[in-house]
Amino acid sequence: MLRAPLVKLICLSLGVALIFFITLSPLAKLSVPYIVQDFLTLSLSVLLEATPFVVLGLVLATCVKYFISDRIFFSLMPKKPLWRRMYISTLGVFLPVCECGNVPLARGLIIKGFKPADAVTFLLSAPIINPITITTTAIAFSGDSTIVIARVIAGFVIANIIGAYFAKKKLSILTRSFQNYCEHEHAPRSKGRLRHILGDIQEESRRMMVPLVFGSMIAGLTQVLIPREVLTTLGGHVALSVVAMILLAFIVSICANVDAFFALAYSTTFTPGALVAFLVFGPMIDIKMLSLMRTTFTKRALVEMTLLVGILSYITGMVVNYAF
Amino acid sequence: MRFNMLRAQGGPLLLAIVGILTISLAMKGKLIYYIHPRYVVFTIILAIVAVIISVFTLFYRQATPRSTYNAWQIISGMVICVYLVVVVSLPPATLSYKLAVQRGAQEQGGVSASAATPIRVGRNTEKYRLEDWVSVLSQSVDSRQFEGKKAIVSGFIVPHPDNENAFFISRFVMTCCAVDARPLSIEVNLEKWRDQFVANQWVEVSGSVQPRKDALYGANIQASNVIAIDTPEDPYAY
Repeated sequence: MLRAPLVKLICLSLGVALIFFITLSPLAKLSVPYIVQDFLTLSLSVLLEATPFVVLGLVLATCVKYFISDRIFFSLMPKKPLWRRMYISTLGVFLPVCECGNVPLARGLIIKGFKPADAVTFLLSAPIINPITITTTAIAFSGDSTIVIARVIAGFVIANIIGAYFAKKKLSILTRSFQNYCEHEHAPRSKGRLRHILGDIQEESRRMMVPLVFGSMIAGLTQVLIPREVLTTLGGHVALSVVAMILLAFIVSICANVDAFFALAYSTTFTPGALVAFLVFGPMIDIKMLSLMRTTFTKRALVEMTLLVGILSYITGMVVNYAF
Repeated sequence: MRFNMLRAQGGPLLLAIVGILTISLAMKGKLIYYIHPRYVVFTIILAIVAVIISVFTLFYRQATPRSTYNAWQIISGMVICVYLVVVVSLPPATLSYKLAVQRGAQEQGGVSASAATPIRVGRNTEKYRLEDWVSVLSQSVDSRQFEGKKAIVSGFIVPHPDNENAFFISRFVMTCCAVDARPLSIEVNLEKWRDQFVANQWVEVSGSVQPRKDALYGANIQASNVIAIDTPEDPYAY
């Protein structure tokens, strides 16, 4: 299991170089334009605030997957579809995985006997209704419980509505290749378990950290480049602000565990409804999630899912703007 | 093949870099330039966990290399590398007066009360910090009750857009992290201040409070003494 010597050498060299740079700040005397300095401070603040929750999510997801039996969750499953979907909506509490990690989980659940519509309900609700997402949202918007409550309720309701919609469909929403594919998501026995754990950490950390770094940069860039008047005009419009944030959520593809810190950057210029719409739409549908879900669901199913989530998120945003 | 293996380890590498950066900033006492002090301990603990997990993963996991990679992945990797190199090479910095202006630090009325904070001190106005003055003046119906009261506040200079003999003394108030920071400001009257100071410079202003003549609310500080200071260890208000 030892790493190739060249890669180890490269990693060690990078580590030494990093420590050198951090300790000596070789560009300390360089005169940096204010706009660059502010971009770096703003983007780094999002990154530093969010990364601990990425780590926490990784640790919890690993523990749940490899050390907790899934019989614990399935023994209480109701038989009636409506109640079953509502129960499934809350499974994220016990499976606090980033939405990317939910896709292989959902695939495994289908293999175990879940109906595809139930798996969709799980996929859409689990990123929002989990302790880490709720905690980070509460931390980011500590002065505004409306956003936290609206996010959780909307996530629950939208996931169940869409699950009910797909439950009625006669045609299968699964790709043919997945229907033929048999994948066992069993946690391996002790021998080889460590290798699988480290492999999961490797894959999950890449999936989460790359969008997080880009998301941090986008947050910083929009704060320094876009004039305040544009942000306040767009952000203050009851309807346009919601649409703009939904589009931003789709593009930025940041993980649900930490997207609240990204949204916080717009809390003074965008309406509360726009922020809620971002926090509801983003965990369910974004560029990254669509590409992952394509491994399991048909194109038509994904288009319908995107449209439904978009419409319902927009309605949620408008309700928050008008009601609160 | 080796590039694929290195790229496959990108996640643990990123975690390690951010973890080491976090610990380094904490050791220099600069982590609070970026996040609220109440999250510092939690952040440091998780940063240490991140470094441990990353090192373990980097050196004991045989990565399964992907067989292909595209131009977008190469470009995104390069962008991230450049960004991280710049971030670790430059010294930590607080937000500048330019951002304060963009976020409304030059509000009319002499007081920018976008985030009124509760008053923490009693009647001794000399102990009021900038955020205390902003809170008091924004919540007061009649600012004349503070006329002549002594004020000693510190902050960075934001030029007045219309008056060459005045500037705003400002601080950012932070709720969670720097990205949500908003400026608090009070107008300071000081003739020809540009002869001694520059925009964005940290100063300590001593003077007396004067109600605005052209508005019902708000007040200025008539400066009697202004001295340059270093950027404080706690540059934000909370």
